[in-house]
Amino acid sequence: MIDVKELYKEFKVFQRPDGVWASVKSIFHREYSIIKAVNGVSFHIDNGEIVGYVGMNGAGKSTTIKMLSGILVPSSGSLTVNGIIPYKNRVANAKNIGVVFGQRSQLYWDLPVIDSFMLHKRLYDIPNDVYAENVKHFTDILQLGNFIHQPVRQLSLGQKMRANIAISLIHNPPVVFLDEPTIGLDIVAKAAIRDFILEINKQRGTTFILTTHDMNDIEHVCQRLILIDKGEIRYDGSLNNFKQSYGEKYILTCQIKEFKAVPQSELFYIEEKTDEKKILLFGDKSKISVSDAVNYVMKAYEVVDISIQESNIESILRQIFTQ
Amino acid sequence: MVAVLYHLKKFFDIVPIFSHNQIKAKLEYRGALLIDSLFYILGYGTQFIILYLITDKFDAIGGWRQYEVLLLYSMTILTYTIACTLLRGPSSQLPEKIKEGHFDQSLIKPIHPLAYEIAASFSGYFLIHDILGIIFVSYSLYMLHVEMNLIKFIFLVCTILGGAMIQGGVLLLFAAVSFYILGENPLTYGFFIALRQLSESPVTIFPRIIQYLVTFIIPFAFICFYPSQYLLGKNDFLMFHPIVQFLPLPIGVIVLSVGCMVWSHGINRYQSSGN
Ligand SMILES: Nc1ncnc2c1ncn2[C@@H]1O[C@H](COP(=O)(O)OP(=O)(O)OP(=O)(O)O)[C@@H](O)[C@H]1O
Ligand SMILES: [Mg+2]
Repeated sequence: MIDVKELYKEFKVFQRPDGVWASVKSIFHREYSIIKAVNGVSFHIDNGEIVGYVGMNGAGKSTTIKMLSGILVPSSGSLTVNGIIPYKNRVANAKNIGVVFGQRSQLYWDLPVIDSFMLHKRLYDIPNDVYAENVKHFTDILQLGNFIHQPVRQLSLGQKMRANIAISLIHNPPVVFLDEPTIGLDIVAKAAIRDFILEINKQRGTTFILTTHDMNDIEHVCQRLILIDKGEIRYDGSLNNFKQSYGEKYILTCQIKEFKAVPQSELFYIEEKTDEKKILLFGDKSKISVSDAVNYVMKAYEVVDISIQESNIESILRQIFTQ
Repeated sequence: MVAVLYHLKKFFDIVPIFSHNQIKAKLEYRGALLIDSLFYILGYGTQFIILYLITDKFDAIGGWRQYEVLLLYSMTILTYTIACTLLRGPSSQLPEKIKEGHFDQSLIKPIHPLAYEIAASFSGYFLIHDILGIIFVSYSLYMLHVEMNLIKFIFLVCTILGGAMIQGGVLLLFAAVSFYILGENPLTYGFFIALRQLSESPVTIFPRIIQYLVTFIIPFAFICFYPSQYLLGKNDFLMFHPIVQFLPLPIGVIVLSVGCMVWSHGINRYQSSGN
């Protein structure tokens, strides 16, 4: 169970001084600027939920995950993970959670993967039978067998990621944070990881928070979506509700001969991609039907090609974030 | 207390994995062991020889004879090497880890980050440096015809432990500054060495202000200057009470504790890094 109330995190950023004199001055007096990364976030997650935590680059997703993991101390607000305040009791919290940062490996560069597993076995006091079963199980599903004895520095990105995910789950944590676990993976590897998350969730009732920029990940594994934008929550609810409430939307993608100045309308929103000679029309069926919108662009531009994208999460998000 | 035992147990559980691997990696490169030892001997050995030559010429520095000065130097090196064998991870490697955000990993393990950092960087391999350090000290003591008995031996061991703790504590303290300030840590390795050099030489030759500095502020004079006088039967305690010669261990415990506390407290200031 995860409980987050009015959570804030500000970063102080050191302004690197220009010039020699400024550098000397900076030894005694440093100039900071403040970045508000997480800005009053609240949510509650029950055991066994799989939650997609989604937002644009720099929205504050990783920062939230780092606070939940005990890496960062919040500027203000309260948070508990399974009743533990992460930054106040890091050891107890660590036993409860598994963490994957897709952009950064937690494996040891010089150690073979199997040694990293052994390291975690000893760190988390994993009983022999549980350990043996998990290693076997994870090796099978995530196909680690081919490279488990190789030092990590020799592994490919996808191999590393699979090993990372395995290791984050090896002590059967009730809560798992996956920060971009599918970044840089091919479609087969992505599918394997999605299935793996679902299976573990079903078998063990593990709670997952997952951040990703691939909306297919969300569609496949999440029941619930939390949308964060500039450190603030924009949506929190079931995936189905989300699709329904925004489901009237669609995107027309038109390849055109040349640009003309076309006035924006109340009824839709047009984005021009000059270099690709493309326009994107974001529409809403409750305001203008797809056929009317098509008619409109056909009249306004000389259209070479047109495609219609009905709302999936990605198009909805795009619409929310581009407007 | 229970918590300390827990972290110690975890520490000894995981140290073999890292250490075994690092030794294996070192031995994979043939001759690495030899070259590394050679560099160590070259690095400190030349210093040793230069000191030897200088003291040879001037006969005595501040009333300290040649091998007495060499003893100061070799004690400093030995205690430094011991401190580094254990604390490389949480000291010299720390500022870089903080800057790059790699310290994240140590905060999500079920063990105190300090213990984890020590374990993860520990390599039994560096024990070789310690052995070379012991040879330096033994050689100086031998050339000084210091008569060893049990009491003196225990005193020597305590002094070395204390000296290692003093240097270790200051190393931790300096590294932990990276938690508290953004940008480059001004307390660099070079700064540490420069400060320490004040205590490698007979402190007598420096102005009073520096004698105070290395006694009260950064107590490097306790690494070797004060305690070696007991071994050498000297009586050169500046303006302080002769008790100072017996204090390296307690001072070491204090300095190391302060270092650990400041370090552990600094964790909460850690900002990680955007990816
Ligand atoms: N250690 C840090 N120091 C300073 N600023 C930071 C730090 N970490 C993150 N930030 C800033 O805080 C904001 C939120 O960053 P965060 O990493 O949480 O975003 P994110 O949602 O994970 O983005 P992405 O999808 O790109 O991973 C950004 O503006 C980022 O520049
Ligand atoms: Mg991120």
